[in-house]
Amino acid sequence: MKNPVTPTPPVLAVRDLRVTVGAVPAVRGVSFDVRPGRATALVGESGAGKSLTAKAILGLPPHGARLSGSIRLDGEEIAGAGADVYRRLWGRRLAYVPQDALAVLSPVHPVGDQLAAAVRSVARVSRAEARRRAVAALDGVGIADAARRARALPHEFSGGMRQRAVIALALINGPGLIVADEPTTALDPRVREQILGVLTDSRRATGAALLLVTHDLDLAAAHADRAVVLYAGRVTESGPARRVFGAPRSPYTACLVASLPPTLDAEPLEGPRTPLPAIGGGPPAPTDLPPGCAFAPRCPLAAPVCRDTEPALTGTEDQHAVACHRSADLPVPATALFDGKAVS
Amino acid sequence: MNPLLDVTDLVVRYDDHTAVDHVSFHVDAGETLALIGESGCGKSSTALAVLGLLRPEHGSSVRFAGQELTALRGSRLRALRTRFQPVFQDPYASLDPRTRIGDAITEPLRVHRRPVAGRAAELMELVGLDPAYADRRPHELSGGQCQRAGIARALALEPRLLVLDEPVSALDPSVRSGIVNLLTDLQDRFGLGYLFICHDMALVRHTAHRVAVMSAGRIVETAPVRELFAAPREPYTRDLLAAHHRRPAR
Repeated sequence: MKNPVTPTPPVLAVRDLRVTVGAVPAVRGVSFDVRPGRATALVGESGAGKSLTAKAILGLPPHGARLSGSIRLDGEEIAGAGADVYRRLWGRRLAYVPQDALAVLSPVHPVGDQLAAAVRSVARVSRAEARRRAVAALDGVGIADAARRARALPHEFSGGMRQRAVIALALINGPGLIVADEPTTALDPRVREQILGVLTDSRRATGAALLLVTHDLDLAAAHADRAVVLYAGRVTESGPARRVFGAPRSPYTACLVASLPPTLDAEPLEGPRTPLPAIGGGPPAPTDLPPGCAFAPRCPLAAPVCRDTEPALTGTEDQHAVACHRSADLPVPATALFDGKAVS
Repeated sequence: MNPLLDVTDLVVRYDDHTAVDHVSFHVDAGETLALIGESGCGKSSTALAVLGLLRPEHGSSVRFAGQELTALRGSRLRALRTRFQPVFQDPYASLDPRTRIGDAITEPLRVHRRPVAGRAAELMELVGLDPAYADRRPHELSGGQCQRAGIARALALEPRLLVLDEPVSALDPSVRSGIVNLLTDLQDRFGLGYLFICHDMALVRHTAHRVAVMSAGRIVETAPVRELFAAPREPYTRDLLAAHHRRPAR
């Protein structure tokens, strides 16, 4: 597909990011962009490096971690920057929605006061104005009777309401980028959909971009414009979310997509309880990486070159990129590799 | 013939809160009954009561192969309990981090004074786990391998029913389908009954025979799986199913 329009500069540009914790190379050269106002999903299994990548962006790497590479927020280099730099960024340029709402809400202050304090931390406004904005923000994330609820303590909210309040807190100062780390894993599916709907709507209203860190493929497919799939600390595939999950080009993404039971809008598999495509083994421990492609030991298409050399991420048309030596030999879509057979 | 598990008028109360409110259902041998509903609807309390880990209110009946569980105490309760076993969500949390995998798998046999010799390797092979891992500890295994060990341990006493509480939701996506296939295969081989608690509607549709929908402590609808997904009768069920994701076409 031709795209004659020059893309707008990314709000976040990550280039060759490496994070080593102790002696463990956990993130090994990750590059991706997040465009203004768009949602990018960072997808991976445990140990893939997705949370560490997010923490590096947020300036919250674990103690003793070593960072290299580049993280640019609106063009400003922030990789490894200190608390003084991040203090300037929080709220207006960068915001964080964690997995556990109670991790950011103080248990002893009314929710509205916490939102108002966030407003006054970046803007010289009166208490009354901060208060008004706090109530409006709670209203904006769908909390009914917001003026009264603003006076409640976090524990008086349900889990879903608390997560809405955290979204309101993240959005209240109009940040350019929100990083959400598994923001809904603790919630049940119905509440999860509501919360992500709220996040998408309010994000669109303020123009904020989103980096959504998740292990849930369906969530990423439903709520992100672009997807970056990590495996063992590297990007194995990235591109438009519809393409990455609809027509994956890396054997790893293909195996993930193929192994899911059909969604409710698709036909169920033929026959009662047909075995799902499955691959043996598990993701490698970052301490015990194979030489060559990290997925090679589990890949049905692995060739000698895959076991010797790590493949580079190579872009194709419409910004769909894949790191695979065998990408030219893959069926299209690559899920055909796994369809109807259990490889184990 | 009696169903494997027959629950009638089950009531569970925590102080003045009724978590399970007159719930009735049954599970046959070789059958998966999925129990679905939002967080806090009483699914897990139901499971705990079925496992005998939580005492239901007077008047509740939990019959296992015709035997009334709530009337039993002491050694007779322990003997009956060997026939149904739980598999939990988090495989690491359900195994003692200091106990070697082989010992963890055969521990139920030692507790019930059954022969142990050779059983670890046999059970590990049954669940597709290399018996060479018997000497390892949980942190040396992947999440999928740990869950296989948890299933092997649940099978040690040759139970007839497994209570599966979100058995794959904590697992990495690339190992999940292998565990789903294993559970289906074990059920077909041994005629196991499964009480399957699950939030993932696509997985429920793929694995269950019948589905019971819980809301606020009550079962609002029970139906064969095809029927439930094709034509849910209750508005609550329709809402619950509408929350699923759509996936881009392949």
